[in-house]
Amino acid sequence: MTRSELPSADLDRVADLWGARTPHSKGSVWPARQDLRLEDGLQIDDVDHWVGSACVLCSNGCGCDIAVKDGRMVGVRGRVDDPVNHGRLGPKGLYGSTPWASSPDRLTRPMVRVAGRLVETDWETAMGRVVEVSRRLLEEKGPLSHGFYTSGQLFLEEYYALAVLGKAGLGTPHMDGNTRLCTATAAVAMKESFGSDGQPGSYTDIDSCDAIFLYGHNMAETQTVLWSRVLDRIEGEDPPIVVCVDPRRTPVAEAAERTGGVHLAPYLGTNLALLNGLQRELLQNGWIDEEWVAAHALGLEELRKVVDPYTPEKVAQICGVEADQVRRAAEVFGTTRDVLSTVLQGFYQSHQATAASVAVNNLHLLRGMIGRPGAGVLQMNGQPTAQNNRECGADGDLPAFRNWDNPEHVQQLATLWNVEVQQIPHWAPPTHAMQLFRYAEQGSIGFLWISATNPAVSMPESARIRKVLDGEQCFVVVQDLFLTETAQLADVVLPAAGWGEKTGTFTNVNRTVHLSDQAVAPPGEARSDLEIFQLYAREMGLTDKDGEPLLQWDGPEEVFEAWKECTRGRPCDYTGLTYQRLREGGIPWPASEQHPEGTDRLYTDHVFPTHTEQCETYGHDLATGGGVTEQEHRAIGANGRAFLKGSPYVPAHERPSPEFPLLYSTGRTVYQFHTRTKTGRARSLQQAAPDPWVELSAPDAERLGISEGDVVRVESPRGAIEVRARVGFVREGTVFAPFHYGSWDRDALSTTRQANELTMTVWDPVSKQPCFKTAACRVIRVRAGDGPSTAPTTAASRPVGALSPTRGGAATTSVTVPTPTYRLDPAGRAR
Amino acid sequence: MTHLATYVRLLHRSEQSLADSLRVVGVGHAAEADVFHTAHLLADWSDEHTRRLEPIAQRLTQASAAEEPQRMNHPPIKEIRDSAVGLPRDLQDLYLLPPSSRPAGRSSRARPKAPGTGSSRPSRRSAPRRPPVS
Repeated sequence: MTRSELPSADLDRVADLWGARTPHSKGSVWPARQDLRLEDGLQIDDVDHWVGSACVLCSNGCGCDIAVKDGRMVGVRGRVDDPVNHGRLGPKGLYGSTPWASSPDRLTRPMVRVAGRLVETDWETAMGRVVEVSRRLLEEKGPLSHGFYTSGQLFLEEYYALAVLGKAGLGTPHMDGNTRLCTATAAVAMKESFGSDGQPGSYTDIDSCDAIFLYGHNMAETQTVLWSRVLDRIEGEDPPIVVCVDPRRTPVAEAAERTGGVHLAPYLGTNLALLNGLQRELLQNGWIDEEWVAAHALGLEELRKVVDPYTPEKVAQICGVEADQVRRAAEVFGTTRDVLSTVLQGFYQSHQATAASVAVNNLHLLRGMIGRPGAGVLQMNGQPTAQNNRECGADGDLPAFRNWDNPEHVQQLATLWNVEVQQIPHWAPPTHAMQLFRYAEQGSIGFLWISATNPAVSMPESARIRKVLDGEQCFVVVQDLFLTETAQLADVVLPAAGWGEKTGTFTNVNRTVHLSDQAVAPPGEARSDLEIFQLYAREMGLTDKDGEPLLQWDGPEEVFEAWKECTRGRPCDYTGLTYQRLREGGIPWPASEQHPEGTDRLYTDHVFPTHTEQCETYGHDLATGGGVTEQEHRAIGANGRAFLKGSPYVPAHERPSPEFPLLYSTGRTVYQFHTRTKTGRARSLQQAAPDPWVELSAPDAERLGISEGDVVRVESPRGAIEVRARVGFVREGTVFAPFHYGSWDRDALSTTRQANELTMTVWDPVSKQPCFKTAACRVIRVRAGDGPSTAPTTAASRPVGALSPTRGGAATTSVTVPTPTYRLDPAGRAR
Repeated sequence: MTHLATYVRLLHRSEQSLADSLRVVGVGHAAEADVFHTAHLLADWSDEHTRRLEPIAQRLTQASAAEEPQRMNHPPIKEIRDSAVGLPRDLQDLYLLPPSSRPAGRSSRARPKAPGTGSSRPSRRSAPRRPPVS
């Protein structure tokens, strides 16, 4: 990996993904470094003003300022005083934050479908059409005819408005977001283990851990700034040992080898067997804190029975790893003082997702390694505002981590919103995204409103999703920045304002809340998502039980104040926060009126929100998803203790066969985000990863007669793609395809690039997160390519052979600056 | 001894019947992906129970030739009801089938310890477990 020296101007952050190192030793504050990018030709002095915000191009939530010139967003700089990033920004944030906003293909007027074609119209006509269909269906079929599918990219205020609209206004349980595809398992794993959603750990754990385990988490590409923080520890004194679980040889895997750790590359779909093996090693070797477990956790003996069969040899056989690697990884976990674990899509989007992610929590509970600096769990998010969707309940959960099955919790909301309890859907678990689309497929949902997400590209089994969206059985409203692949299939398209064009808050992986102020006006007639939801509520005449209009807020700050009331006394207490306070920088919740400074880590007292009256869920059986009843939960009597829950491994739903002999996984590259709505419109990023590819291992490629750059056809029982091959470092027997690529930047709707053509309609029984990482496929060489694949060479997709490196990002600046005091940073306090 | 043999046979046949019924409902309603997969997971558990009961049932059958009481067996589900509305009724039928591993609630105690890898799984699982492609 290339490195640069400080201070530095003209830094190509396409070539240099993580920027220059600022090494530091264990327990010291991560040094500050300020990264900056302005449009070509602009200098600092040209900027009219800076507007405080945080980056939305991954889940890390880096504090930043938006540069504004002549009413346009022209760049970003990292905020040095922000506890999340200490001034840094990653390649996606630097290059991708602003160019999309002035892209000529922005949606600026509403559109409606007339005689099969989308045509521009005015708001009155478009919203008139929406309201007409909505009213008719409510009259004919009631609220169950309505579904809402939102995002991990809106602001807190918008999710809360949507949640009130759906639950108090219409009374539909059919609400979810694409967070189901990205962080549902994170939330559910925390609920099952600790009783409620809420990130136990903090990013500051990186600064003081002795080992860091990354489970299915290619942090080097998905959260580049967080990885900089890890790299700065690795290059400092007392570096942590890295252990990586990933079927690809990612930069994280290389770091594992460098630091004396282990890279475990299990067969796709076998994570739980591996984790059961690690838990067994801890138990067998006595690497557990019996006293702590007895005082603060339940279920040790049951867990012991479940994991007992998973000897290192058995794990080796199931997962295709060395038994000694399993022993070594367990030894690192079991004998190192402070361990930090992070988990992401390699677990969340894979087979037995919840059980495997809960097993990570178990490892920490067994050693009592939670609630103190350096010993934490980070169940990660994929998107910048996913946390808020989970908190606010636009994903179907009840707001502020309330339990839909707890009548008292439902009553609290009914009181808060002044509606009848029966109006709030709580007679069954909320509908998850995959089920929502099934209802839309059948037509029982006849009105589907999609905001800020692109299911036509991002959901599994694309052909099926296209049919659902395109069919006559369901009226589809899409609210977005651009005419995405999904919007092209809609009946009404509403132009939305994006980041920087509206004001609101959002919360990152480690609970840090940021305020993002409006920097510029949205283009044309585009409106903020909040305004759009409010317009609909007004036109529909949605009211509380006294006939007062719902969603009657004057701007986002009033919504935030209403939300604060909703969180009072809940685990995600926002009552100590104000817009004014947040303008000074990010603050992690809980931040009550008594402790408005916020909280760096949870569970420092080792008391978990598992009281029956308090918990967000009574829990589930991890194998089937069968629910625990209130009565059963009460009988267990957790009362503040965490749950140790285990489940046996079972093979994935689709396994290789003679017909489809290879395993297929989708994933990400460092230069693109989601379906490229923003990153694909940033020249530096798009040129760095312009086209889809598939990665094959060298032995598989040789067997199939495939060379670097050949055009290959990858087929599963559900579909096929034709892309160029990258002969790289994915595990033998496995094929990897990036999921970012649809067809919005092609002339015609093309389905031969889209990784999700091949994936399968199947989901985890507990988190309901669909599985993107366990399909079977075959690969056929179609023809020679006209050169090597354009897959990036800088990270996990690097080639086996020597190719010219990916580079050519526009100039950025990066300078070391004095490190300020971070109020909640344990290292800062210790000095 | 007589009654023990009868009831072990009952358990043995019921597990088999439940496994078969789960697969009929799972395959029949395969468009509901979770019904398909959960039904097969539970059917696998029933297979495992059947396999473990097999030697005991065999031994007791040889030891006893007593007549069975009336109405001992619930007939397995042979076909599904069409349409989405048929699904809850088929699930209700499944729910009413004995014995231990009915698909409601949790049954962790009834679960086999560790099913292991594909090769060591019960032979009845050899049929491809892939839902039809829509």
